[in-house]
Amino acid sequence: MHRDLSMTVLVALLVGCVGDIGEPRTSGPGGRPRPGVPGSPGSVPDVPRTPDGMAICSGGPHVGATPLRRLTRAEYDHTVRDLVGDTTSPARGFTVDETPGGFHANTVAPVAGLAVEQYQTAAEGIASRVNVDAIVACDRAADGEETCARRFIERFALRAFRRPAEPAELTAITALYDGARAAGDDFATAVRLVVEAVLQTPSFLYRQELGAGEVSGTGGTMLRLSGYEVASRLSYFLWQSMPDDDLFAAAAANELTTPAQIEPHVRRMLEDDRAREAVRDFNAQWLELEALDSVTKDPDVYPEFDATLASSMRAETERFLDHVVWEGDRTLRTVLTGNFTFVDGPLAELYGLDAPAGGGLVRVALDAGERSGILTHASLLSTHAKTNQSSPIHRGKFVRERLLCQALPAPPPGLMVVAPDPAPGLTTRQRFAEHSSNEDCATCHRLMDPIGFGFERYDGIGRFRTTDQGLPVDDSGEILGGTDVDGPFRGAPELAQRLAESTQVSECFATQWTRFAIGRADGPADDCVLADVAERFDTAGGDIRELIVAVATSDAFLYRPAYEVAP
Amino acid sequence: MSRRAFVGGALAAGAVSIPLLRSIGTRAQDTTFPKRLVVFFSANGTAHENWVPNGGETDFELSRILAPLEAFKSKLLILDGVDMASSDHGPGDGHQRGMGHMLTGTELLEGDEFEGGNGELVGWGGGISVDQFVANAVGGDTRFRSLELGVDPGGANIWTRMCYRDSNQPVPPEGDPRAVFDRVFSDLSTEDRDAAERRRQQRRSVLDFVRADLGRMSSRLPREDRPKLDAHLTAIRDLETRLQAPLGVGAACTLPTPPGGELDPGANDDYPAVGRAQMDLLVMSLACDLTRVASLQWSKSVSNTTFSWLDIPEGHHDLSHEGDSNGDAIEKITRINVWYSEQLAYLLGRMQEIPEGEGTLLDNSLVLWCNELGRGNSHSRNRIPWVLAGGAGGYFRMGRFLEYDSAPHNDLLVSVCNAMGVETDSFGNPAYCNGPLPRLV
Repeated sequence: MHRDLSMTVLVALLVGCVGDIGEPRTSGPGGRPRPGVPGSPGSVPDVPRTPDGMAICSGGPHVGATPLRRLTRAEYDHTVRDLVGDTTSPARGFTVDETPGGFHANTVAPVAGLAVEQYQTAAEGIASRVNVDAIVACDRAADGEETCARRFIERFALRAFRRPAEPAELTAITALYDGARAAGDDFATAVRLVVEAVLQTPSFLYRQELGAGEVSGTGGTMLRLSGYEVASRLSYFLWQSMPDDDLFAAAAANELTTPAQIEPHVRRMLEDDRAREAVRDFNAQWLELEALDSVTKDPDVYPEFDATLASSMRAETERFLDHVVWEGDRTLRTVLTGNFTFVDGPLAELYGLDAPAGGGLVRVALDAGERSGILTHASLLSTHAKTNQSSPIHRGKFVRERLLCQALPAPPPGLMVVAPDPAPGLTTRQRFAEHSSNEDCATCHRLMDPIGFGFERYDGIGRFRTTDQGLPVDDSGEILGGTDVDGPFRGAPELAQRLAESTQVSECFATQWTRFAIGRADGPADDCVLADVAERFDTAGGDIRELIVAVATSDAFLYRPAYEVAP
Repeated sequence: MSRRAFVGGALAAGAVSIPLLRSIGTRAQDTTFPKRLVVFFSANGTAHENWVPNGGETDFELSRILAPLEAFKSKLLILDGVDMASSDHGPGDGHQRGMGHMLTGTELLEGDEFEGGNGELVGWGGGISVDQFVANAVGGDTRFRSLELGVDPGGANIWTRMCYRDSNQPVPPEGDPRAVFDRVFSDLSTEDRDAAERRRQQRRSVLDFVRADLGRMSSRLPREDRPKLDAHLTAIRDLETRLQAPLGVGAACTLPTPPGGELDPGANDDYPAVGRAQMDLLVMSLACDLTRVASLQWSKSVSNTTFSWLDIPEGHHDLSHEGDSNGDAIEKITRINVWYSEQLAYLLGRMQEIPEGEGTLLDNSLVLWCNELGRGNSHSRNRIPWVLAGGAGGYFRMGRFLEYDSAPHNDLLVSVCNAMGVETDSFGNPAYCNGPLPRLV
């Protein structure tokens, strides 16, 4: 299979739009230039390529870097919930997660001292709250304390480490337990100490993926992940938590080694509420919905905007996407173009709809000329706007970066990056015309602003409007730059239809899910995985749940690159 | 008595003197006090025309932006014309470079594994920051090698991190004053010493266990993951050291009042109150000699904080990208910077209230007000609005306004080290460094 790097044209254009970031280079599926970084952490051999840069994916499995991952805050909270029943979300106050590739994952920087201290505090708290009888689950009167302690240590270590503990590890934990008893601590106190200690070990805090047997391919040596490693891959991807007993049993039986063995687990896991939570988290991160928790608006311009309305906006988008994935036709097309949404009272008022009965979100049909799909949700329109006006730049940039996976270069050094002066009697669009008249700005802004102008029928909080500054709104827009859906359009609903037909948008969505799964930005070595996932998504007619299955059964979940052990 | 109960008790009693575990008088009767370094950051550049003082080196008038610092004029060094020359090199957009070079003086890391954003492919900062460098030298005796505090500092990315323990090792600020209080001050309770001693023993045995486990793990991990475990091990050692470190000393050390539970560290309108709580905690952590190096990061580069309490409805970053001819925007940028100046004045005032021998905590401290940009709308990193404050133990000649002709800021970072008693003649990438910044001493 050859990976068609259809984005080369656009990359050349983007490179040209700053002029100083070097020669055009091979691009990835998202159109991002891919400079090699020899010797950088996680650098892995590239996929074999044809002379014109196409990835050759027939030479055996080939996956990208697999850096050591430290649990994210969500993963930590969910893991201690499933491990010892602690539902206090102790990681909420931890240092914030990195977002390499746009999604929470701690894969790049080493842990900060503050975080290690927070692990200590959290572990002490969890240990103090744990129900000792429940986690030991052993009849001490019948079996004896020592036997119960040994059994507990072995099982707890297995579940905390997500793999069987090694003899040296069991010896060390047992020594800790014995030491506490020798110091006069009672059984429960010693068990708590074990919990406190194990929760601070690297085997708990990091997701080790050391690999099992070697698999040689034409592009370098890969290692097959062990069954336990695959089990954790699946559980942290689909549940943001540790594996359950079924996964542990499958790993122990060595039954997680092929896509065919893995797929039933994926489908089973998708039926669990934890998968809904993970998908919701993907959506929130993909669309940066967290911004709604702190967005502010100018009260003189938008007096109706407050925290309640912002939270209704976020709820609408979450509910809509939940519906599409779990109750609807599951397709990206509907995400982009669905002619319905969910509104509560405040949102109905903003959208000019009749207030729904009752307090919660209610499904309503939309006038297709006014709104369709997420691009017209007040949530995204508000977070991609200024405090007192719309922002064609931010809206166009969102489409480029999040839907087309195209990164836009920074302004050239020294360029005055100024918004046009406010001018009564000019529409936003007219004011931003400067960007196309100033050549320094125009080269890059032509990629953003003409798309953003298509959103001009929505003000800074997403309310539909037909006039701006008393003048009629012009919502004609255009996609430029060599995408597969270039051309003029009128209004966001038409833009959404166009994007729904784009192969690049579909590939980008598959790439976003893959980034979410692998915890980093994609690199050239990922091209075969990305091509495979995108193709399966396309074959499944854009079905998002099938996309998730495709990611979880891709080579990225079965292999890692070979490595040298530290001396 | 539990920690929670103690905190509650303190709340009822207000600020109380701490019965110190080590004799209060030891350090107080010393004739020398430790030097402290405080980094104070605000974002998005300034309006230089309203920042630069009027007049000569010693006979100058404070500008409108700096006017709130009038009471401390004799303890200021205002530096104009010090550029972030290093940031003309290496990857990153304007804000990223500004933030990542500001205290490190060296290029950001390349990296295609980590999307720094805005189309530039960058990694984290590429070297140790000056505060951490100083902390490595002077922080060993204190309970905290350094303390990093923030006020709504945002997510973990290249725009939001100014402190680096090393290349690729950002140091996150703590943005929740309650968490700072719990972390820094809750152990100062002397209630129930036996329980505290048993707790210390348990912690020690747990840390021993964790350290051994790190060793086992690092022997089987890929080489490229090794720095992660090394950093983790260092952090564990720091915790072990802390178990042995004495609790606070310092004559004016009092337990601060715990920050109010109603504060929301992420809420825009709580920004001033959170900032004030962080400053109170910062000052007391210095007064108690719990640390000698601290930083306070107000928001982050590209800060879009809305200064609603100044009746400014636009976001800070949005305003910073208005044109120079937009008088309304320049006025608002100026008022925002005046506000930050007032916050610095509050901090300096609190530090001045702490007596140390013949002088005050402020006299024994060096405060560095820094910004990732000189001016927002061009992303210029020239003429950064640097202000030094305090006495630095008499190292610098304060009370002056100094104009430079494009001096590299690495030189200033060298001088900061020297002022803190850390001998070096270069900081950051030596290619952009000439040695100590002239005329400061």
